[in-house]
Amino acid sequence: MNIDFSTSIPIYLQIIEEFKRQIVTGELKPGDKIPSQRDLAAQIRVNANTVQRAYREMELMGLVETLRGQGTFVSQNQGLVEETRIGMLTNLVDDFVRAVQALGLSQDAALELVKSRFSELEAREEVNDK
Amino acid sequence: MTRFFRLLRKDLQASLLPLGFLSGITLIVMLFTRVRIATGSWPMETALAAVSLPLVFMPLWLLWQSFQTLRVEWREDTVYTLLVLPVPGWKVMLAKLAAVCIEYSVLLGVTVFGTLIFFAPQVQLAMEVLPGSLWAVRNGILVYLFSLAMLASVVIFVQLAFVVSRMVGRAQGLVALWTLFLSSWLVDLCGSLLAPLFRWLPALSLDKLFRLYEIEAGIVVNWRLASEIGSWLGILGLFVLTGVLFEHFVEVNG
Amino acid sequence: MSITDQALIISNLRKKYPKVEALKGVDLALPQGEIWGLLGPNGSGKSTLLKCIIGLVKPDGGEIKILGQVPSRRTKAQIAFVPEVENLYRWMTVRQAIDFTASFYEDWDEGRIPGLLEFMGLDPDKKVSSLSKGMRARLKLILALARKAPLLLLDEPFSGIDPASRDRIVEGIVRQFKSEVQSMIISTHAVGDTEQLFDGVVFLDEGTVSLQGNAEDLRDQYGKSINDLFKEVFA
Repeated sequence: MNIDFSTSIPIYLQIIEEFKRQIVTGELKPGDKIPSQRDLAAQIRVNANTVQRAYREMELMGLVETLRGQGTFVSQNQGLVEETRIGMLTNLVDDFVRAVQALGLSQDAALELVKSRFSELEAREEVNDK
Repeated sequence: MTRFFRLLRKDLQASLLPLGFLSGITLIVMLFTRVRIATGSWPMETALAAVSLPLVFMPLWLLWQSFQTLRVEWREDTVYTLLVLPVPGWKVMLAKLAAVCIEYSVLLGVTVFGTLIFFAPQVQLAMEVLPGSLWAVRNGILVYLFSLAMLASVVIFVQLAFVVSRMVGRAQGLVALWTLFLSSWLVDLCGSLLAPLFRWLPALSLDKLFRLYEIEAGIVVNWRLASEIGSWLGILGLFVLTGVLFEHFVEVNG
Repeated sequence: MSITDQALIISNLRKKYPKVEALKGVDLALPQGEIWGLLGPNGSGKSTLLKCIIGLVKPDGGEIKILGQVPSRRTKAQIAFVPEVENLYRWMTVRQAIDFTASFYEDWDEGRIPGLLEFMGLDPDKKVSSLSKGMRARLKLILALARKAPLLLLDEPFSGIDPASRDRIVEGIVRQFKSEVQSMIISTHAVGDTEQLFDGVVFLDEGTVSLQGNAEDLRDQYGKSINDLFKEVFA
């Protein structure tokens, strides 16, 4: 794991966000083992108490579960993964909507723009792939 | 006591280089003198002067060493290690004292060894005048112990003066000098004040030990035990004081 | 909160040098099991504070309680102190420096030494005087981390050393620190990329505490990194 910390946000929250991202994108699959707290702390050079707090929060959320003596694993609960994905996307869209509103764009105009950007970027990716 | 020996070992290792150098010089001077005598180019007086040259430097070096062994700790910032150790101050000081005494013994041993090796005929000649080798060994040991005690007391004075000088921010040299004066005056006072308490002790006289065969000559050392004991107790007190000051009152520079 | 929850309690600590008042009534409580950053520019009194705790400097007033005890020879045995100065005997080899320190502490764990030496990239046969500044800083840290000391005090462990050594030291601290039984204070004037080490921070400004608290709470509360807060406070 590699986190480029923006230290203005609590670090344990950023650790949780990073795990969420990896779970949602499929980098981490249900049942995968994640690093031990001490290993992760050493790897990203973060205070072990901070990592502990992040793991504890993730356990409470049900994202991961710790089996005594075996380590910590990504939850098998597919529904929760989906829920997390929706949650992250909702946050992103909320940010987008607020930004659009602040710029004074109407809903229709914004959606139109989103559509055109989608086709533009997809076309560009196709070119890049070839 | 392993902590004490660890400190002692450190202090000895730290002065290994000058000690080796001085031992070497002593032996070289002896060898050189020996060659000069053999070729007949030096009269006996010159040879004697040459051989005793290292013996003159030895006490000076030991005095310097007793001061240097402490000063280096401050100069090199290793005092930060020393003051942080969970050991009583007197152990640190005793290790340094013992180190200087051992260095003295080594230098003396080298000198004796060199004399026996390089000047065997001369030693033989001297032994003929003396009342026997056993006599020589016994008195040699007595003189050695006496000089060792003198050295130890001087080192204790120097240690106290140095430690006190580190407790002030300014005029450290002056403070050290004053401490030397004051402490030697105190020891003297201790000696004369406590003398009546020890009046029952006999006076030891070393003159008999040095008397040559049939000749009433030699070095005369009168050891008035009564007043000496008091002074030694005073010196012991100074040593304890140094340890306490070092452990509880010395600060490192802000 | 009971006393046993705090590894260290300092109240109204004062220290005056002939020319400057270094500490003007400092209060501080270090929770058990945490790493705290003691932050402030040069001359703010950080070093004096740490020296008071270990006993290298005698305070003029106030109180220090280390695991409930006042500073003494006994607390010296419980504290691993890494000074800012080069306190190692230069003529010793790395191995000798380790053995020397080991013989004075009952909490020494010799089993950690091979791993620490390898991790820090130190050759035990090298002389201390031949090591670079960064390597000497690594060795100083090894001497502290090889002990199971309940309290560790590191005075400016990152100052004036190469980035590689700094990274090793940060990682070494994270790996070796046992929050179940240890607590730590690290003083530094360069917060930069070490702030993620700290559970809590204390800002020391000309001998007084200007801000202290849990690092994550402060980030949350001010919406700023500790480094930005530091720059703001000491601008």
